[in-house]
Amino acid sequence: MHGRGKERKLLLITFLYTLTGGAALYLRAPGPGGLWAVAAATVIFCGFMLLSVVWQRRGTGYDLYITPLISFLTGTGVIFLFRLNPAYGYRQLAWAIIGMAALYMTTTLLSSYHSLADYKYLFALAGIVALLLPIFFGIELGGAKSWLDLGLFHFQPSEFVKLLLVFFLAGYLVENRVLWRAAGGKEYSLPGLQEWGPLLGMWLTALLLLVFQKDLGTALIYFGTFLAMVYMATARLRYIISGAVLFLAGAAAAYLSVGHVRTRVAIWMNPWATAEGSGYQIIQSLYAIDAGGIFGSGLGAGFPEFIPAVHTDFIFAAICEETGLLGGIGILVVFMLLVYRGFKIALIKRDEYSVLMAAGFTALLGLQVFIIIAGVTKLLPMTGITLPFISYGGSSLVANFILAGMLLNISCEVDGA
Amino acid sequence: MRNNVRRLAYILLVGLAAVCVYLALIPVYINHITKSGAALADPRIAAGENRIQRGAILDRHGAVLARSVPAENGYQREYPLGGAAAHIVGYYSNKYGAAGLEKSMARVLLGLEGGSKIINLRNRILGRPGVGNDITLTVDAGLQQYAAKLLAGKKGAVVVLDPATGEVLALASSPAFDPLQPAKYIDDAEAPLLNRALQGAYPPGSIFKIITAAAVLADLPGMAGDTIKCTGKLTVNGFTLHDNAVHGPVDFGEAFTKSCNVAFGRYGLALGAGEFLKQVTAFGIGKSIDFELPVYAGNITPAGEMDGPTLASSAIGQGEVLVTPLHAALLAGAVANDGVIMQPYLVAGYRGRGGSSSRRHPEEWRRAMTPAVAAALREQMINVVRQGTGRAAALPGVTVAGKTGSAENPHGKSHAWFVGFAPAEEPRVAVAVLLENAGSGGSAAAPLAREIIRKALQ
Ligand SMILES: [Zn+2]
Repeated sequence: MHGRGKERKLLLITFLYTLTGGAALYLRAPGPGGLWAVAAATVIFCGFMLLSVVWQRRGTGYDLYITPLISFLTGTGVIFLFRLNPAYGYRQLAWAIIGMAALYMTTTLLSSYHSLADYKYLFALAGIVALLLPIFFGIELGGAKSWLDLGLFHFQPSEFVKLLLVFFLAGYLVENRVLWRAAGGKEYSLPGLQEWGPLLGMWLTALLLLVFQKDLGTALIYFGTFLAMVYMATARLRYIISGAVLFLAGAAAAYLSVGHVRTRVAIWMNPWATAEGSGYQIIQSLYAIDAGGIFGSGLGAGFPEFIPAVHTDFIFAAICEETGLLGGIGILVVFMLLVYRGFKIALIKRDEYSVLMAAGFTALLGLQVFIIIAGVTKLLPMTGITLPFISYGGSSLVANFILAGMLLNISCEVDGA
Repeated sequence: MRNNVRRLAYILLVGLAAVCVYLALIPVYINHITKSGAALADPRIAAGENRIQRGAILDRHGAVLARSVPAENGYQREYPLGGAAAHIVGYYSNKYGAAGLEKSMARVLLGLEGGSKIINLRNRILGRPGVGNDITLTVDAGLQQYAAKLLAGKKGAVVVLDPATGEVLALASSPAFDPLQPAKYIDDAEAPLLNRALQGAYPPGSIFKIITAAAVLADLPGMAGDTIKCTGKLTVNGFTLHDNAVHGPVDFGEAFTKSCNVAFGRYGLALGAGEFLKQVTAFGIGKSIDFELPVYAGNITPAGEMDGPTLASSAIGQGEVLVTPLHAALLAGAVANDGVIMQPYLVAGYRGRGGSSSRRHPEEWRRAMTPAVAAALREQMINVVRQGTGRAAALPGVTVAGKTGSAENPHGKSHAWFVGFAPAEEPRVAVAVLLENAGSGGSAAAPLAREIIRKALQ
C-alpha cells in the first residue's frame, strides 16, 4: 500500500490556484464564462483526486508529483482559455476530461509496457502512415497542413506520432545499441545501413513534415527528440554531429526552397520591418510580455486579444501579460519540475529500455516547451507548436496526458520486469 | 547511459532556466526598440486609455470644452466648441497622437496623476474602468467662441487675459481645425494646427515701443522731456530707418501716441544696447514661459551683436525681434498691473471623481518696471486710443488703453497688432490681437480688439 496523501495535498494547492483564477474571472465579469471556469477548475481537481484515490486503493506506486504538476498546467490553460474565449474553454474542458480518461487507460492498458518493445517496427510503420494521411487527406489550419477533419473535431496525427516515435526509438536503440558502439569503434569502417538507416529515416521524416505539412516546429521536435535519445543511448558524438549537420543541411535547403521557412526566419531576424504584416504577431507577443511587467495586468485586465492565435501557439504571451514575469517564470518552473521529475523517474530505473523511454518522453516534453516559448519570445524563429497541457487543442492535450501516463507507468513498474 | 541522461537533463533544465532569464530581458529590448523609433505603436496603450473615462475639460463657468461619452469599446471624445477652442484643448487620436491640453494634461485627464489613489486601486481590483479628473480652465467659453468668430476667415491670433492674475480668458488662433479629425489638416499650407497665439513668432513692430518707452521713462527721464524733430527717416551708420509719416517736432508723449519711428529709434540709440536689453529682458522677451502648452520664448539680438542699426530697429520692434501674441498680451498686462507680469495660466484646477481637487493660485512671473513707470505708460496708452493710432479701439463709457503695431515682415503686407487693456483705471482684461499681413494695426487690429474688450467687460 502506497500512501498518496502528498499527491492529494499538492492537487489541493493546485486547485486553490486555479479556483482563484476562476473566481477572479467571475468577479471581473459575472456570467456563465466565469462560473464555467470555476466549474472547470473543480472538475479537473476532482478528476485527478479520483485517480489518486483509485491508485491508492490499487496500491500502485506511481510518482506523486506528476499529476499535481500537469493538473496545474492543464488548469491554468483551461482558465486562460475561458478568459480568452469561453468557446475555447468549454472544448478544452471536454478534452481535459477525455485526457484524464486517456491517462487512466494508459496506466491500465500499458502498465506492462515492456512488451511494447516487440512492436517497435509496427509503431514506426503506423507513425509514417499517420504522418502521410494529412498530406493526402488533410486540411490546413494555422499555416500547417497537419490536420485531419473528423467532422466533430480536427485531429492532428503528428501529436500522437510523437509518442510512437519514442516507443519506437526506445525499443530500437536498446536492441541495436551494442552493434552501434562496435561499429563506431572501428576506424575507417564504411558506415553500414544498419547504422545510418535510422538517421536518414528520421531525417527524411522530418523533411517530410517540414515540406509537405509545413510544420517546422514538429519537424524540429521530432529530430531533436531523436538526437537526444540517440545521444542518451550511445553518446556517440560523431553520430550526433552528423545528425546536426544533416539537420542544418536540411534546414538550409528548406530555407532556400520552402517559402514559409524563409518567411519565418525573416520575421525572426527583423519583425519590425513587416510590423503591420507578417511580423505583427511576434511584435504583439513581445508587447504583451512587456506590458505584463513583473506582476502582470491581472487576469482579464490585459489585451491578449491583440495577439493573433493567442489561444494556441501564443498562450504563453497572454499568461505573461496578465500574470506578469512572475507568472511566466512560474509556468516555466512548473515545466522544469516536470522535466526534473521525468528524468528522475528515468534515473531510478535499472533496465535501459525504461530509462530511455522515460528520458525520451521527458526530453520530448522539455524540447517542445523550450521551442515554443523561445518562439513566442523571439529567442528562436516561431515554429507554431502547442505549449504542452496549456495551449488549446484536443490532440495535443490528449497526447500529452498519454505521455504523462507513460511516465507514471515507468515510475512504478517493478525493476527488471 | 545514466550519465548521458543526466547530462541531457542538465542541458534541458539550463535551457529552460535561460528562457526565464531571457524573459526578464524582453522589457529592456522593447524599451530599446521603442526609443529607436522603429517600433509599431502598441495598440494596448490606446486601448487602455479608451477603457478609462478621460476627464472633461470645462471652462471657468463649467461649460464643456471636451468630454468623454460612452461608445463601443470604451469611450469617445466630444468637443462641443469644435474648432473655436481647438488650439487650447488640442486633440487626442490613437493614430496621430495628441496635442494641446489633451496632451499636456493627459496624466491628470486619465486619472494617473492627481486622482485618488485608493479609488484607482479599487477600480483596478474590481476591473472597473478608471475615471479621470475633470479640468477647469480659466478660459471663458463665450469669449473664446466670440474671439474665434471674429478671427474666422483671417489668419491671426487673439489672447485675452486678466492682468491682475494671469488667468487666460481666451486664446484663439486662426485658421482653426476640427479636433476630431486632426489628420485632415496635417498637410494644410495655412498650418491650421499651429497655435499662432503661442507658437507664432512675429515681429512686434510698434507695440514693442512700450518696452522702449519704459526704458526711457526709467533711465532717461530728461530725454522724455525733450523734443525730437522727425523728418520721416533716421540714418544710422548708413542704414536708413523709415517712418510711417513726417511727424515734425515731437515730444515723448506725441512720439508714443503717433508711434514715431524716428523718435523711438533715437531713444534706442540713446539708451544703448545695455539699458535697452535690460528692459527687454525685464519684460521676459526670450525667457521661456512656464505654461500648460508650449510657448515660443521670443527673440532679441544679443548684446554682442547689437550694432547701431539693429539697436534702432529693435527699439521700434523690427530687426530681429520676435514675440508671440501671448507675450504681446503680457506687455499690455504689465502696464495694467503696475509693472508686474503675472504668470499666465490656463488650468485653474482639477477635480477627481472621488472628491479630490486642486486649485491654482496666481503667481508673479516678473517685474517689468516700477509702478511709477507703469502709471506714466498707462497715460500714454490711454492717449493712443483717445487721440493716436489706436482710436478705432475706443469704446463709449470705458477708458481703453492700448498700442498699435504694423510690423514689417518678409511675407507681404504688415502684420497688424493691437495690445491694450481696459478699463484703464481698474484693468480687468488685457488683450493682444494679431492679424497676419492685414496692414496697419490701427485700422485692422484695433477694431477687433475693441469688440473683444466690449464682450469681455460685459
Ligand atoms: Zn516720426
